[in-house]
Amino acid sequence: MNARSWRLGAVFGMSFVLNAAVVFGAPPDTLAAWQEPPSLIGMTGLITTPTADVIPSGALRLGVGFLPKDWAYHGRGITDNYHYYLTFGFVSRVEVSIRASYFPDDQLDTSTPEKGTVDRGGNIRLLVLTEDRLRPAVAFGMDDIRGTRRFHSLYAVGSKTVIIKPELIRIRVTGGYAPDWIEAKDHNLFGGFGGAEVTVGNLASWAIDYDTEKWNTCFRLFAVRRVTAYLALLNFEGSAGGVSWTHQF
Amino acid sequence: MRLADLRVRRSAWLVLPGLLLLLGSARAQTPGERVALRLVEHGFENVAVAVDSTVTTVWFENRIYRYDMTAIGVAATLSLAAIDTAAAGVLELVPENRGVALIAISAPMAAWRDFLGGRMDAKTFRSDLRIDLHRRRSGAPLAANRDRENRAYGRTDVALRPLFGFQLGAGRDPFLYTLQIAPEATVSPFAGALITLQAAIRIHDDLDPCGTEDPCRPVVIPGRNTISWGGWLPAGVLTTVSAGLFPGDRYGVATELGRLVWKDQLEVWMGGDVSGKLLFLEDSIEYSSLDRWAAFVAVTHRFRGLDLETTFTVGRFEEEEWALKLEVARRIHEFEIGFFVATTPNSDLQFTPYEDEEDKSAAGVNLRFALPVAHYMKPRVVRPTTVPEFPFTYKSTVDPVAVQITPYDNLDRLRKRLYPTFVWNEVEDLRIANRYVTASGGER
Repeated sequence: MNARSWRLGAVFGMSFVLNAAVVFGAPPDTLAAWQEPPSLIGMTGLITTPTADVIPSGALRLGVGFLPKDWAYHGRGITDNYHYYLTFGFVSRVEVSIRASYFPDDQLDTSTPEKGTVDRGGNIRLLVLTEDRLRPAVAFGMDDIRGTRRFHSLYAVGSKTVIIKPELIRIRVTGGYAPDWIEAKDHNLFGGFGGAEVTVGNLASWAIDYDTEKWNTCFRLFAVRRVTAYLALLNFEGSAGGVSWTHQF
Repeated sequence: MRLADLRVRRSAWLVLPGLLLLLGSARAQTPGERVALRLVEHGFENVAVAVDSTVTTVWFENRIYRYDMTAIGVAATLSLAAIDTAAAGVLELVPENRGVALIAISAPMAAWRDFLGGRMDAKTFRSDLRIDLHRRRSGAPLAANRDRENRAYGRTDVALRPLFGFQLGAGRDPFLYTLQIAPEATVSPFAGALITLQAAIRIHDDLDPCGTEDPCRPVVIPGRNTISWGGWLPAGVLTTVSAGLFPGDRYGVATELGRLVWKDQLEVWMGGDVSGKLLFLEDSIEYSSLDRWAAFVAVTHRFRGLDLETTFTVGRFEEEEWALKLEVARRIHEFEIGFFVATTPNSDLQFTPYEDEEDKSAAGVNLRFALPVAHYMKPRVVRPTTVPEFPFTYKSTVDPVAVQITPYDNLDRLRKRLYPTFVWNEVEDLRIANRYVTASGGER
């Protein structure tokens, strides 16, 4: 199956699941900040894709995500990517994040033996529609807003929750689209993307997503209502992961 | 002698001191005297109380709680406990800083009691609450025209302040940082004044001009050493002036003036500084004359109902460039996070080559975290203490975009965050007082 078929399949698949969720789903109660886990770059999301969720106003999240060099967005095949981030629920419905990404084996200046470079960026997401019984939540966002834009994405995304048993199992499906309207060095997302997450008892979750390039899966653990640790397989093979700490002011 | 008789005889020795204590307390008969006594015993300074037929006004200065909303809640609880529980009327609190009255917060005593006791919600309490920046409920000015008890002047606080800064992606090095420990002594010699003496001890300094291997700066250098004054000017203008040695190897004078307008939600303020370079090296001191100046005008908007503040600044800064700066910040309880962007559209500054030469701007984040100790020991002649918070600024570039002296003793620090909108928004924080005092005024 070629890349175009993958993309189409992903978009149609996610649309189907999203529509099914619209039919059968029901909105959850407002989730606490620690129940809105981050993607590997720090914004609330699945593995490498965003969801139509934002952490609550006044919530702060600090964390780090690791991507192996085989599936890194920057310096693929050359260097691992470490994303250190601070994400904040700035006001209701608005999530902002600042990120410092470290590339230990990257060389900015090849005339010296010194390795290790840093890229910085800021992300923002606006939740424009909250979820109700029939309607999915809808958000717009932009990653890596200014500068070189090595990790840029501009996207619209919708998410819908299917609650099987409210306190036991929660399933949330997501689909979205990312155009390349803004000039950037790299677009992390370009095309249709989406995924789903099954959360069990607020203790652990399993997620799968398609990030416009490949399928990924992830297992997350929630601890002490503060910490999220996650282990991911990018393209179902490359081990990635991260840990984050969340506090509600 | 039987054991019981022995106990009675020993207990008799306690009667005399008890009677003396009662006689002593009997002298503090008026409600005002009882309130002042309670507050002074608790550790508040510059205490004064005025009682008229309906309003009891209490001036006090807090240097025992890290968070001033906690202190206001404690002062209210102690005052209510010292006043007859059946008393009606209004309790008005006027917190001060360095003897400068900051704000008048008043509500009926019954409302204070019900709110602090958890029997009234914040919305109802707000409807009874009156907050005024310039005048008391009686219409009189904020300042107390009466003797203070437990005066704060001349008492020295000694603390260790952590100083940390870092820069990412500067040149070839992905991560540069400085870490210093700064022993600091502060004393307020008279109303409005504050003297700060600080030494900075280097732990690590990637930004030393000679590098980390053989640094040109000594291990210990003078830190922020300033004398500052703050106070009210006519027309409700608050001002601060600082002179001395500032962070960033600058010496000089800096000032700020500000006034709140439009329902106290808009602050119009301005400031400026005149400074020179003063650099302490291993074997010499480099300095320049007072040849740099900066001046700015700013407008800050603060919402009622949302602890969001937006500041727009325009000014001429130290590199002789005009700059515009926009900052949007959240102040939640004791935490603060603000994002800013500054641009120098017509600047001819030489920007570092790894930045986009056309983009003569800087973005960054301001953070302010409360440090762990929330309740300090009572003030005394010399008191070891901790600094209340850890402020931190990160800027996207090392280029001198919109640079000016960081006076530290600025309007914001003088106000201790007690803006009318902040008190209104964070009114529920007054109940933190319940962690420290009981409704009857006892310490927990």
